[in-house]
Amino acid sequence: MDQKHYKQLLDVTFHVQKSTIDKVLGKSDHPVPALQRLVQDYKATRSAAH
Amino acid sequence: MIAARVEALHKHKLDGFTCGDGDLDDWLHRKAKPMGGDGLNRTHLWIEDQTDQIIGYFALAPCFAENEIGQSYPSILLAKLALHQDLRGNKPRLGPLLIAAAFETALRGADLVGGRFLAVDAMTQKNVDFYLGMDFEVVQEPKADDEPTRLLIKLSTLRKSFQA
Repeated sequence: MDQKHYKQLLDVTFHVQKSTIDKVLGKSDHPVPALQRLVQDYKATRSAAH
Repeated sequence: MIAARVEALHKHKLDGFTCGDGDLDDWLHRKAKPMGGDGLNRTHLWIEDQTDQIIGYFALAPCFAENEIGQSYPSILLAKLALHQDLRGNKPRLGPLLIAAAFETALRGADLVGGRFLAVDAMTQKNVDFYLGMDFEVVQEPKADDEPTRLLIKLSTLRKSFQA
C-alpha cells in the first residue's frame, strides 16, 4: 500500500489559503445545474428500498 | 439502467471485487475494515440489486480545512472511490453515479454531525474538470505528478442540488 494512501487519511487537517476558503464560502447555495442532472440520474438508480 | 444501493462494509465478502487498480483493491480487501474500526474513515459499498454483487465502493473520512490564521472548518473527505473494472466504459457511465452516491452519503453524515465542506481528490485533469463543472473549487494544486488536486464544495450547496 502506497504510504500516500495513509497520509491522505491520517492528515485530517489540510491547509487552504484564507482567500480560497472565503471564495468557496462566498458562493451562493443555488442548485448547480450539472450537479442537479447528476443527482437526477443517480436517483433513478437507487433501489426502491431507499 | 442499473438499480443499486449503498450498504455497510461488514455485510459483504470483499474478495471478489476488483477495480483494476492494485492500491485501491488492496485498500478494500485489507485496510478498509481495520481503518474503519479505528474510526479513521468509513467505507461504503455500492451493491447492485439484481446480483447482490459489489459494483463499487467509496470511503469517507472526517477532516478539517484550516486557513493560515487558524480558522478551522469541519469537513468530509471523499477519500477513496472505485468502480468494478467490468463496468468501466459502460453506458450510462457509472462512475459519476457512484460519486453521487458518495455525495448523498456524505450529506447524511453532515446532517447528523455537521460539516462545512466536502473535499475530493482528483488524480487527472479530466476528473478535475468533472468537479469544476459541478462548482467545486480547487484548493490545493499537486506538488508532484502522483499527487492529487484537492477540491472543495460547500455541503450546503450539495444539499440544495439534492433537494431541488
